[in-house]
Amino acid sequence: MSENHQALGAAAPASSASAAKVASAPAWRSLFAKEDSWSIWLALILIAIGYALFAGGTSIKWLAVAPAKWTTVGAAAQDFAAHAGSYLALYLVWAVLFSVSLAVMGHKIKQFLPAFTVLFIAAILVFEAGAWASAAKYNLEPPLVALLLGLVITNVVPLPSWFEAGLRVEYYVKVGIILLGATLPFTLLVWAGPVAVVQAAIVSLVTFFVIYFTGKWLGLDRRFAAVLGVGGAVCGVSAAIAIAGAVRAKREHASAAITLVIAWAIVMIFLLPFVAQALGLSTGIAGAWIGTSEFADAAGVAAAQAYGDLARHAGGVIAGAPDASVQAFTLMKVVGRDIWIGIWALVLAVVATTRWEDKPAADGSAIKTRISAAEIWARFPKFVIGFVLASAFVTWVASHYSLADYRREVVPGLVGPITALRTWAFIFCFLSIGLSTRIRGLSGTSFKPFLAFTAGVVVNVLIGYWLSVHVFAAYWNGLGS
Amino acid sequence: MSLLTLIRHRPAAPPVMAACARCRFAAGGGAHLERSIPGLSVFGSGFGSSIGESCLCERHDRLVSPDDSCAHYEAPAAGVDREEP
Repeated sequence: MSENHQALGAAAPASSASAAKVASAPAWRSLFAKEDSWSIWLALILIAIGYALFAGGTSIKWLAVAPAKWTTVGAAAQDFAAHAGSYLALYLVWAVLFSVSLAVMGHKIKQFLPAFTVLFIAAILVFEAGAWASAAKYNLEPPLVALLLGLVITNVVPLPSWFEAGLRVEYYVKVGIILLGATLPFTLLVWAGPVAVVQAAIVSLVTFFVIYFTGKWLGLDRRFAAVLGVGGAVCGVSAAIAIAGAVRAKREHASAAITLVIAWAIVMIFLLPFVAQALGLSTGIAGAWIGTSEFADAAGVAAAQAYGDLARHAGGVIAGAPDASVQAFTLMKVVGRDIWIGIWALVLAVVATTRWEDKPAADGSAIKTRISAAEIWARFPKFVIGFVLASAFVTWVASHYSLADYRREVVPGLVGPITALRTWAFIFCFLSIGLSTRIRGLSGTSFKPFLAFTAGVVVNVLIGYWLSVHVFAAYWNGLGS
Repeated sequence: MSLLTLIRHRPAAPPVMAACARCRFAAGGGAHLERSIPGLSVFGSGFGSSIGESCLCERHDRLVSPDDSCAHYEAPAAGVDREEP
């Protein structure tokens, strides 16, 4: 069927045994082989324990500890000492859950555990910094502090290689997003989900075609242009690697696309919240805009969380509930964009097979590819299922209470602690982003791919703004009410 | 060829042993992909669903699927079973 013809002259033997293992693995093994599945198990275990305790008349809030607001270092230290047992218990719970799951996935726990311990201590410091009463005055929002701190440290101080084992960015953000589902009413998901899908579809298609045709016009390989396009249009690094696999792209093209996604995602984390603030956007609208204009889940959560925190500390200057920012972002990014990656992969695999065939190789070394509709499910971001399940479950729990009782009992006893656990997972993620983004470690990219991707970024940001602020504003503002 | 026809059409499968899944040049496993593709683990992961079953062909230096095949297939050396991931 399709053919790729650029065999390399020199080649090294690879870990074919592991590739064979992947291919021949039984179906049940996929439930324990990927971070997506494990993020569902972990988050649902925490939610189930939280509900069991809540139903039994107690609460998981003793575990879901968070620093109290403080004005002096002495007060912060006193609060920490008073809750030291809870912090230790929380560390043990996270460490056990992550260690067991990562061990099953094949990671080395001897490396992960010390790295996670350092990460947890850093997370406490970042959380404490965010609880400083004057933090908002200096824009010391925890996501931005964590990112900046990590970026500076990793690019100035050489970190030991074992420390990388603890920086599981995507794993942490998936756990956090599923926990976020538990705080998002299912009715809201049903109400705003279709709007998110429509808005995301418009932005994704336009962004993809702008990047793809700009790239093609600049003379880039079509597979490379497609990887760049979907990286900008759908879900960043995950999309880039998914499409690189679907169209059988070269490794260097996947690396270059990933570099561009990372560079722009980092810029957007710091840019979008402050531009949204300058434009006076409500939290819901800003979250939707960030959801259409950020390239990676982790980066978008950081930007949306930062905007929510800005709103929380702005004393009513920014309209909307602080949590509406992350809620709108998640609806837009996860429901609107991420879930379609399998469809993109299948369609582009078919196009690559039927339309992008290169000249036949003289030595008959072309790669013969096989396409299957199973690709859609194989690449589906399955953590989204956990997000929907968590939302449905807690909504079912809440349906047994009046609004007043929900606020008096369910919020402090169940939803609040789950929110605190979510915040921890996100801080692990934000720190990991910064600490794993070593500029020198990224592959280089030339001007043409940069230009093509940047054209898509500009169009994406403008259309995302127009749709969020002018076309679907009523929906996104509704999240905060 | 229509899209549906293409998806339904399953050409004569190559012998199982000649597919990328069992080729010495195909490198699978999340950790290997993370080591081989700079930046993959910053905002993504070699262990996420979106990567599917893709592996890296170190002969062609391209991402391939386990069912793919080519004329350069070589069986792994006897007893070679590198650690996964």
